[in-house]
Amino acid sequence: MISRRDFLKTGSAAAAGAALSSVNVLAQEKKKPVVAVAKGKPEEIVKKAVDALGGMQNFVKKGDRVVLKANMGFPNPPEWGTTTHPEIVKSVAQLCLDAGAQRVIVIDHPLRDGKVCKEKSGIGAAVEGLKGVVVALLEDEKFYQDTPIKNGKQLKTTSIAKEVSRANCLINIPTAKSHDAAGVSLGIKNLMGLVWDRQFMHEQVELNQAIADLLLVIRPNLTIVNAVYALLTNGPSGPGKTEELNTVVASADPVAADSYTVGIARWYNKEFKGSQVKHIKNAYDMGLGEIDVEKMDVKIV
Amino acid sequence: MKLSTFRRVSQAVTFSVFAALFVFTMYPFAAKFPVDAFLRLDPLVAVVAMIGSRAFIATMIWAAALLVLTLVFGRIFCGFVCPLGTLIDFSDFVVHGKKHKKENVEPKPNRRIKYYVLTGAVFASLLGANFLAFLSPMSIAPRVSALVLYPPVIWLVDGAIDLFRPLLLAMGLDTFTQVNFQRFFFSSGVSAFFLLAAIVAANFWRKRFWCRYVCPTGAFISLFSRFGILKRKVNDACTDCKLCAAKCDMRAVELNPRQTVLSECVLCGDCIDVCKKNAITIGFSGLGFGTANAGLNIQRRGFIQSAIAGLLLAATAKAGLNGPKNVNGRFIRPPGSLPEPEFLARCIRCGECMKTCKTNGLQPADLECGFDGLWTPHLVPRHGPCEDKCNMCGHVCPTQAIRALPLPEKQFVKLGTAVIDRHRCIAWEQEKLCLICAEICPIHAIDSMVVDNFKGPFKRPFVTDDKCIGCGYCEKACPVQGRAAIEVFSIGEDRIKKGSYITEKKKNLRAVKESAAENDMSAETMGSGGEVQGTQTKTSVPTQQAPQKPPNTIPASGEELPKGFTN
Repeated sequence: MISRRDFLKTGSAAAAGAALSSVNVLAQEKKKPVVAVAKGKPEEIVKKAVDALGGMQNFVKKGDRVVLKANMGFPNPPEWGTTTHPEIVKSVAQLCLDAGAQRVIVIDHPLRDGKVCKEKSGIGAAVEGLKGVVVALLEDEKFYQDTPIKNGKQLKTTSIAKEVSRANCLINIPTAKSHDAAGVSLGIKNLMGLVWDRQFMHEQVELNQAIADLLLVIRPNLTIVNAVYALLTNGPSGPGKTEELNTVVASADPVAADSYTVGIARWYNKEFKGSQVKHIKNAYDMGLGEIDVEKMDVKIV
Repeated sequence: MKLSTFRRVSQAVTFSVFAALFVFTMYPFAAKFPVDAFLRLDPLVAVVAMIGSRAFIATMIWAAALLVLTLVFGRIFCGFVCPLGTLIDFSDFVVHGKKHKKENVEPKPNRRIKYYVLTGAVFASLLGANFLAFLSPMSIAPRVSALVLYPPVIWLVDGAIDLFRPLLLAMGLDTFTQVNFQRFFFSSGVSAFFLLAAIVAANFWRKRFWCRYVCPTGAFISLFSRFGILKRKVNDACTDCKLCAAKCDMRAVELNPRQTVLSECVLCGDCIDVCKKNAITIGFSGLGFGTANAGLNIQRRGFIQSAIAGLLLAATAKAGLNGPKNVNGRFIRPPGSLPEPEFLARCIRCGECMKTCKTNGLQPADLECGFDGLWTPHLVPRHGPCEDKCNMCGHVCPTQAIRALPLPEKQFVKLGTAVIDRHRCIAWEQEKLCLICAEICPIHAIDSMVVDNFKGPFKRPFVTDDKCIGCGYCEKACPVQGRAAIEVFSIGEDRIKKGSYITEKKKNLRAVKESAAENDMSAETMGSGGEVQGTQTKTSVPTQQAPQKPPNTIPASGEELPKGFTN
């Protein structure tokens, strides 16, 4: 039994907490999101970028179950730029383990056959030696659960990988590539790889808004965009023109990470800004992150 | 160990090897070791496939090993090794138990039948018909395993894992939590099952009915087994009680129990067990026929009749019972398949290619391509496409009806061409930002271009016909319900007997060029369908014409000349 007094106490405490946390959110929104950009050897740049954001312990706590959403959707070599570079996946996983993660699960819902993707993308082999790291290609509906999207403009509900809700921390490690339908496929677009029924998003609703809606329910704690090889044309499956940028762009703000990455390569041999990409713009309009590079705290390391 | 016990052990071991090889008939093992080794043991398969396709099949030379074995040990293959024989014995034990109909000592119906079946099958192969799908144990056993037994087993295993998944998760066994067995489905597993059911049912009437009266592989081996040096011997203790004759499953002991029909004896050792006087042994007895009744007992009349029957049946299968040949162009053979006549002559419908197919896209045909095409593999892209990075089907084909191509070469095999049904396509008809087909195409044979004179300006998909290999990924992924809006037809399919599938022309087509999107990126906003009436010009592609040639394709020599002329 709770006494009335206790009830009131807890109630007011909760209200105060809520008020405080909303203040906190507002304060955060005013603060410029930090975007770390690191250039160099694939095996070194992740650590540099994450350190610029204050180190992995800012995101991963001891004993955490961490989900890495890599792009392993195609059985293509890393040089094609269609999948996350194995070295990047490996270093992110290693950093998580170093920060005390109890388990790191690298997941994707591949477009092509999972087993082949795991092998040919090189990601399976790259993380094989790391203890506590599991690669899971979720090719069956049973790995997904229906999730309502409360404020979704196009997508009201979708089925999202169960691993996401089990995890304490979600790190999004997309690869930077062009995309036939969405223009570019970066961090926010990469979240589609956590969804079971993607056909629905193309067929039944407006795609660019639906992609942005995903960000309402899947909030990656950290986004590290792999632009070691950026696929500039013929994305997302390639083969197309690639550019060896040897870069990663990391930020806790998914919109900022994407928007910044749009500016670092000549997509379709043209200049674009983040705000010119519909789904990124949609996410910004919903207040899910910063799109203007001027308003970001960019740390180039 | 008693010979009969040794036989059961041998059956268990060899069947386990068969089953293990069968299980490993999957990506990526199939290319690493010869998982079809068991299937290539059948010398009749070698003979029929080689005669039928008028070619020497190097992979089938392995079958000579079985003939050598037979020349030394007699027909032990049938009793000790044959997986269908083991299946028959086992299912007989389970289904019929001891409730067998009491048999006469005399072998009725006459077991000569199987020699006529053999004659018929060999003569039918002269006309390119391969009837071994119904007759060879090396076709029936793996096919039944693949189409009938394997899918439910996987279903059970996967179901069991599902059951324990929450427990595995709670125990922190994440590696196992993520395990998922792909559940397989095959379209004509039922008809494949009936043949086995009939074979098992016939055992009620006559034990090992199939082996005694029908099996042409057994008949073929028995042509050699009479020379085997290991033979059944009866000594003087024999009291003519004929217990052995009554016991013999193969009816290799007839009215005179001292004699053995060498062509029938599988050296099972049952007669040794049943003999009360210990008069029977099995041992080496030198070359020659010895005391045994080794007569073949085929009559010339029967031989001629069965030869004619084989030819007639072949003609019937090829013509009379034949269906229309791929009239709708949707019948797509696996990558590297020989030209159709050779393919049909060689394919023994063993089902290994379907078992190994990574995506479950290879399905057994029913009668859509006639009786002649029953159980042959074909790709059903809507069910499962041909994975670009997989070449397993050729590596498991015992008769090389599907060539074992190295992966880089297999990736150049054209199975057909994808065709867009613009009235079903949601990008064409409804202006939806779909383009999943372009997204998933492994070789980027589908481009999206802004077309402004169809309904309104919008990004719509186009297939580059020459580049498309017909893998069917687009058809599989198309979000249109029911029939896909993009379907693979066997237009321009590549099927060559020998030589490389890689050509300069194809290589040029694959080279990364300026993409259509690069030229036609008309919208100022990425991710728009091009529907925004921007200031930039839009590419105008007439609806009824092929897309414009990308600008930097290599110009054909003599492009300045009028059409039809070259330098």
